[in-house]
Amino acid sequence: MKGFSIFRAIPLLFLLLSFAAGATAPRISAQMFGVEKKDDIAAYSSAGSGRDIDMLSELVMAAFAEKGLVPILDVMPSRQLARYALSSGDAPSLVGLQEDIPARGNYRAVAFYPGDQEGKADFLIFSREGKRAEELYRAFNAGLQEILKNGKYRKIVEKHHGRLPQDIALKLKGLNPGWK
Amino acid sequence: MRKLLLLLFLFANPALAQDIVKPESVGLSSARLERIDGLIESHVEEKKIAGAVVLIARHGKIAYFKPFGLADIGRPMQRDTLFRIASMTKPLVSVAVLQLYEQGKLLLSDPVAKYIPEFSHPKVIEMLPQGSDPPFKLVPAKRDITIKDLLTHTAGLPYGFDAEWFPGDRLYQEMYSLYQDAGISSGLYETPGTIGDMVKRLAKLPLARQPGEAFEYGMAADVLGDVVEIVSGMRLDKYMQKNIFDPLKMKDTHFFIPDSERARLSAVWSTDWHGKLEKVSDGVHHEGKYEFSPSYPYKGPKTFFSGGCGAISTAEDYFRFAQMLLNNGELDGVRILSRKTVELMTATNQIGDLYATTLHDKGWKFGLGVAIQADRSHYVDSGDVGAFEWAGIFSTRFSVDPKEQKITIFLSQTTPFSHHFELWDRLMVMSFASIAD
Repeated sequence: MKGFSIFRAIPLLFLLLSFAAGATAPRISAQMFGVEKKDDIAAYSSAGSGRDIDMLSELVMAAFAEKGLVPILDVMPSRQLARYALSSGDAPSLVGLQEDIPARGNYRAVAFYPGDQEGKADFLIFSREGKRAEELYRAFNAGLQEILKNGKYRKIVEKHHGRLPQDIALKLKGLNPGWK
Repeated sequence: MRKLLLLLFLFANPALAQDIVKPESVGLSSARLERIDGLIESHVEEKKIAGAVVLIARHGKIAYFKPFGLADIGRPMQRDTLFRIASMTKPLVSVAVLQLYEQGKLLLSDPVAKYIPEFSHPKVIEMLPQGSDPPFKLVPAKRDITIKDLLTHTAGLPYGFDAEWFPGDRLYQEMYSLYQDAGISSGLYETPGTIGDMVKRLAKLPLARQPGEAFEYGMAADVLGDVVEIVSGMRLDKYMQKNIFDPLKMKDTHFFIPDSERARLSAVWSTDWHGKLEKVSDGVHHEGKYEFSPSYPYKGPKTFFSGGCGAISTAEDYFRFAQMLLNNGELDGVRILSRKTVELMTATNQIGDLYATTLHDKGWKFGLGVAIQADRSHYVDSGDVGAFEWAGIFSTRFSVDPKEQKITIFLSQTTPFSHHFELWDRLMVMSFASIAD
């Protein structure tokens, strides 16, 4: 310890104390459950809505899978929250009905299930802002048409509903005027 | 004739697990306690309430235990009448959580998301100026909610029916709307599914307040019930039966009423407090945005064990629970909690500068599952600093005064409950005014 003066010891003591303070880690921190992943698709399953969100989610994911994408789909318990996610930009797309397309802002929608009631088709609604929204739109629009052709769409609907509603491809074409 | 009267008395007042002692033997005044007869009887005569049971105990002995009025049409109230104790379920479930805490199975500082992952990354709702579309924005919570936040109602989880109590508060109106959308049940009506199903949906909704920043009474105890199920691996009713009701010999406390006991359950009565008193029929009733059904304890799927308000009990059973707390965690040689944990629960302010104003007033703090009187300079006075208590929406209230070793229990079944603050508060005054030593 030759040469270890009091003048050296004081800064060392301060250093140790500062480590001690830092060691009192917060027991509750924002990072405990990892970084929150951003949703790609918001969906909702509101009480009493009667929509088969499991089937709708499966159709959506199958269309993306056809184009090699596995987006994050978050089924929220409230329609209001899902709509908020789209309009606030928290999610670039929303599984919803025609009336869920926000009145203000720039959106486009692809109908992917004609609905069990007239005029209640299900859409994937996309923001027109941001690269991710554009990427998702292109993949979904193409992937959906492919699963309609290759029979994957039929299999999913039959699994959930027992049978495929008549003229489904025709109805969807009618709802999506851009399709060939 | 005397024999006949004796038989009638015995029939009307089934045997108690515990004798009723002369009030003077525990330092209470018989004459002063009898004034309570007049208070309750006048409320029955004026058709403000149909009936009630009042129990007052001191030093571990029941000194006053009387039924008044009717339990149902043509059926007098009995000492062993069963009541929907509603939010008086919350202290029961809080004790269950604290048992698991004592066993090292959870910590009060644990984020709830550790057990229910849907609670991770919570958001908090902030209302935007009137006319905004959307009307709110969501901001990240400053921290996760913890088990302690649930026990102290500082997790930001109100009841949906707060919207009825605070019609001018847009935050409560929005939370009501979100709860309706998500099918969040208060547990006060027949509810399908399990508490786990419902809590997962609740967890994905925004919080009404930043964690720890407001006393927001509501759904937290239902989440605690789910935590008990997850941590113990037992269904909530089974856990409560094995670890609290059976050891305390609370033989008449249930989540859903056994068919054999159905005739002992009080009806629910609707009152305008001015002489209009009607029995409420089975099924869901709406008082604005407050929904309830008198038949939830015996109809419906009976799969939803609400930790917030699902229990049915009697005055004597709840006395046993309250006496266990008063005895620092044990009753009749059976220990439910350690003394240190009871002190943490009932004698330690856990909400800092906030006040437990929902059923009380400023001057009341909150421990872990019960409100604690912190000073006597406010309108709601239960007789002592350190008195702890809670109440239920169908007009039930219990109060424990550790300093005077006194317990007061009032059980009625009347709606709406807001009329009853006055009656409860008068009863509390008369209870502590009967102390005569």
